[in-house]
Amino acid sequence: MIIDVQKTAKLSKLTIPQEKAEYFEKCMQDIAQMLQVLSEVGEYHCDGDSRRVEMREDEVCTCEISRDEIMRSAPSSFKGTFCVPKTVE
Amino acid sequence: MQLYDMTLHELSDMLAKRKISSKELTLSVLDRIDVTESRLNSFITIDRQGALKQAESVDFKRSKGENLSVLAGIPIGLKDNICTKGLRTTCASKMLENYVPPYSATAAQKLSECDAVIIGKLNMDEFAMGSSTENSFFGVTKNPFDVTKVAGGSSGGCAAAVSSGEVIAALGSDTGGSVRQPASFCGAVGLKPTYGTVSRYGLVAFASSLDQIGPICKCVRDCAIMLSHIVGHDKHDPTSLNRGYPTFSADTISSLDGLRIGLPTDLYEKCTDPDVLARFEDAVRILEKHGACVKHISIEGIRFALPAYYVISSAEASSNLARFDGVRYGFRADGISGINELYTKTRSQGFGDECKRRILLGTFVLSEGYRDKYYKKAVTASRLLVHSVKQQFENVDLIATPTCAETAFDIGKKVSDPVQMYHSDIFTVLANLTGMPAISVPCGLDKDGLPVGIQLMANSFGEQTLFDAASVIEACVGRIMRRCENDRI
Repeated sequence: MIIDVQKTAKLSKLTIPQEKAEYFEKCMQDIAQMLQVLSEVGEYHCDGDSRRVEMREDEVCTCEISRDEIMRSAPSSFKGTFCVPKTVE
Repeated sequence: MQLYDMTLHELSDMLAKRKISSKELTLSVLDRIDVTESRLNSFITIDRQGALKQAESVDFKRSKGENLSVLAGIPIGLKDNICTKGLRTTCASKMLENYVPPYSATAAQKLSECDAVIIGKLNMDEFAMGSSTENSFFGVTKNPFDVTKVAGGSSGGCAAAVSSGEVIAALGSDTGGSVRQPASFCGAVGLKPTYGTVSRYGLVAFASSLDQIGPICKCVRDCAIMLSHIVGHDKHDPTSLNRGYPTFSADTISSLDGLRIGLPTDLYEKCTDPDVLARFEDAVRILEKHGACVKHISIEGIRFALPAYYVISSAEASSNLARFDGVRYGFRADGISGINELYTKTRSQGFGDECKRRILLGTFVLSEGYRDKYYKKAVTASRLLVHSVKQQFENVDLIATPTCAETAFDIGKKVSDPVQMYHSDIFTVLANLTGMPAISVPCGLDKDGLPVGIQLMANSFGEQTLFDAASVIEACVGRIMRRCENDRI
């Protein structure tokens, strides 16, 4: 199984520099080799969910953290909004 | 014995009887950090001022006769993926190098409400991805037993700090063994609780269906105390279970009559280190001598556990780490001309190699054409394992294996070979995939004086059974400590 590292990187919003490309390709091939055994997993039918998650009540919660506190972590902000480079290309 | 080498319950007793003050204890720990930290690199952030202020506050409350928690005044460390309001939380990544959370994790908040003294934030593998704490942006954490060896990971800073006396106890996180494996490497006790018992609110997510916060302590009793104070339902965490919990105890019990221990021989025979196998078998014999009945078992589908874990955890990680894009918090790359460049440059510069590998793998196994082949198979395998382990627990009470196939390895030995590193988790991932609790307790030393750990796994909510059996092993083996007369650090 050959993993197209550059294509996967693009999907992941990552770039792999040329000098590391070969190393990453080898790593990913080795990992893919380790995962091959999963092809032996057959169909398995189980009754209901094996690990059930309890659903909470569908109620609106108020955020306990103020907008100013949240904005303090922003790399760039303007009047309570996050600033980013242009999004229309 | 120095204060920093004493256990949580011993120190709590001394504090309650006013034999020592919290300030005295905190200063003992901070002085210890001054001596050892340059060699170990357990911490990312040390909050001296904050810790001393908390200690003084506890001493004041005690002088007023207030009824305080058993954790009051105890110096504790937190893995640096557990959010602490006002105190930097980096996840050992350049991406969050200067991030200061506006809120605290529920588990951290519970400790603060018990008046625990938070010494600082402990080193880890970046975003909890790793088994050696070599993937940290802030450098490697060394093993207190031998500074040429790794401390394990991803909670390596926690284990090293507890083992060396830099903190009295710590909270780490465990997604595939990240509390138990470093505990085993550093001679500490580490527990992964049943999934859903400890709130994940404020724990920076790696793999949301597998992550659990767990204590790393000097002894089983300390682990029981820590767990008792962090369990409970939390409305902020939709996976937090709404049920009551007992106060866990670890009183040494004399008899394990009737306790049934399963040895999955097709798993632990993968352990190739003869010293690890020998210490593990010694520990099993201890359990037998105290009345436990041991039988060999075979877990259907066990060979799928490690690959299934890496598919599921990477898939969830690729989704969870998508939030780190330079927009709302954290690192943002310079010289950006457009939105796509913002995302790509920020993420490429902000994440380390192991993080990138996991994100790539996660994206790949979820992508069109491969999702059924990998992700769906992994989830199917996981459900099969839940079923087959639950079947085993109809006939046994605990499943025992070595925590790791080897003792702490040399720094640099495996960091460039991810598959070899991933095999460090071969015994630990089963507990995460099934959501069941597991504990690692020291059971001896290898020929080089490095700690060996035995892992016990119980059915869901079986933490008390873990503490009972682990206490027996600990009582017979004794606390594994650094050789103080020849303290290598």
